[in-house]
Amino acid sequence: MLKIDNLSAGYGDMQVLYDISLHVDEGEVVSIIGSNGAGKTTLLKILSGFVPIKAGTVLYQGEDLLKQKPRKRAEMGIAHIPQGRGILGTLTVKENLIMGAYPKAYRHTAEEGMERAFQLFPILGERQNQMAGSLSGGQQQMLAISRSLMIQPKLLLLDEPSLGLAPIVVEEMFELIAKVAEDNMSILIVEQNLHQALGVANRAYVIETGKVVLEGNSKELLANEDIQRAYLGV
Amino acid sequence: MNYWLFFQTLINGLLLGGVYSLIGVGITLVFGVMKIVNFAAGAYLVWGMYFTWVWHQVTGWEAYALIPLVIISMIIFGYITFKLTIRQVLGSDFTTFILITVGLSFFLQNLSEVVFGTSPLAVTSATALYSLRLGTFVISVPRIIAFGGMLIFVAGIGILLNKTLLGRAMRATAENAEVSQMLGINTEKTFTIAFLFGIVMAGIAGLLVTPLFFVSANVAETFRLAPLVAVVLGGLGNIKGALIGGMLVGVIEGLVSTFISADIGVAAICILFLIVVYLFPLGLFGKGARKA
Repeated sequence: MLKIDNLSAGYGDMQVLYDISLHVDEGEVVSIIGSNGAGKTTLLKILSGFVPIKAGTVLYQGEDLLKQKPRKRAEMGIAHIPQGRGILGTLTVKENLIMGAYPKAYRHTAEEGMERAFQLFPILGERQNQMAGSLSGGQQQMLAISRSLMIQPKLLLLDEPSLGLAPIVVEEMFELIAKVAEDNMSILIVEQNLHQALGVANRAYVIETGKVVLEGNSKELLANEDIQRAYLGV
Repeated sequence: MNYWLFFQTLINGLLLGGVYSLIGVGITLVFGVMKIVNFAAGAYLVWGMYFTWVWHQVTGWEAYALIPLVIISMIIFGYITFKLTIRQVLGSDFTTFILITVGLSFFLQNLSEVVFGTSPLAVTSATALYSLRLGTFVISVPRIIAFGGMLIFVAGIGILLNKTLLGRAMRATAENAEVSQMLGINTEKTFTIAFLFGIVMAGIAGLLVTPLFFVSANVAETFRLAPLVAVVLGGLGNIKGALIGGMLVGVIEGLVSTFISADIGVAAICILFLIVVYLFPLGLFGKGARKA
């Protein structure tokens, strides 16, 4: 599905990612875990086409993803929920959903997509004509997820979904991700919140200062003593 | 105080202000989507006037019947100038855009002098001679048409922005260009379209004033300052603000020109501008620009 090989990248003279290799298989949930400044967000920005690379390849369904313009990603079935959710606050809830199905191939599905979203989150239906900026953090997260589902993506990229949310909302959020993952969608999550990220994922990679230092099955990683020391303070 | 003169001037100012509003709304639209202030709007207005003159010479029709032809001409002309200048520096910082649109303004104005000469031309119009009587007040028909045309175009822009997919894509791009690209929006295309809308509105404003002004590159001077002041007065990026700001500027300019001296009408606009910006730094309806 998604295959990253020997990827190196950086800004100017500063190298951020060193020789990263990872892959996401069909229907798999993969987490990338790392602390601040480890290069997680840079990695996602490379996938969305906003940061150039220095070396390496990124294949999506066997095709070179980095050759494509950023806006082509949605057409190719890649949805992206950026850090801070990326809600368009000056558009209404309904308009945000409509924009979620913007690529031509999906426009005719906008109506059913919206109905699905309102079924999943009735509160969005009640507030469909309100400005999205007036929603609470949790509701904005629901909207961000619903909007990304408008194209029924094959691959969903999530950048720090827990950022800036109350703990209870974070928990709801990850329950949702787990639910969404049941639809046989591939999901790549970048996250600091180790417990949640490993809880929802099949596999995970741990990144430190731009290098993959550990990878494996989530359950194994959760039991790993190094990880427990570094991230859970046990 | 001569009340008749006061109200007559008020009406005239309001109607001319409508033209400022139309240009101002175009500037606002471009600023809203691209975060660029188009200082060349006045020069595009002049080209709108010249296109009206050219098509009038070719067809012999009334100026108002030429609206579709002038729109098409402005789109083509605007696209070429956009492609050659602003398109080249998309993604640069604000100073670049100020320099390039101010430079473009001088270039376009001088280009029109090179192409059409410096002597004023006239678009003859039968409607220019008509006026309405409202009690003792006289209102010239071209001014009413200019004002009405402005309202129609501004309402059209409102519908475009709020009810169509293109308008929503423009608003999305205005708020967050990066997220818009993630959603599959061609932000470069939305930039181009927004800019062309601004140019077309300036061109239409040019057409609407041909019965009132001689066609000449100097007209750009008249329409360079006032719409920009109107836009900032109303709160940069606010369409309703640009609409009301334009009328306010028109009225103040008219009143001062009539009652104090015609020479200081423009100075009055500047003083009004200073007072409003001092009292309301974000403009009358401004909520302040938000970054990303």
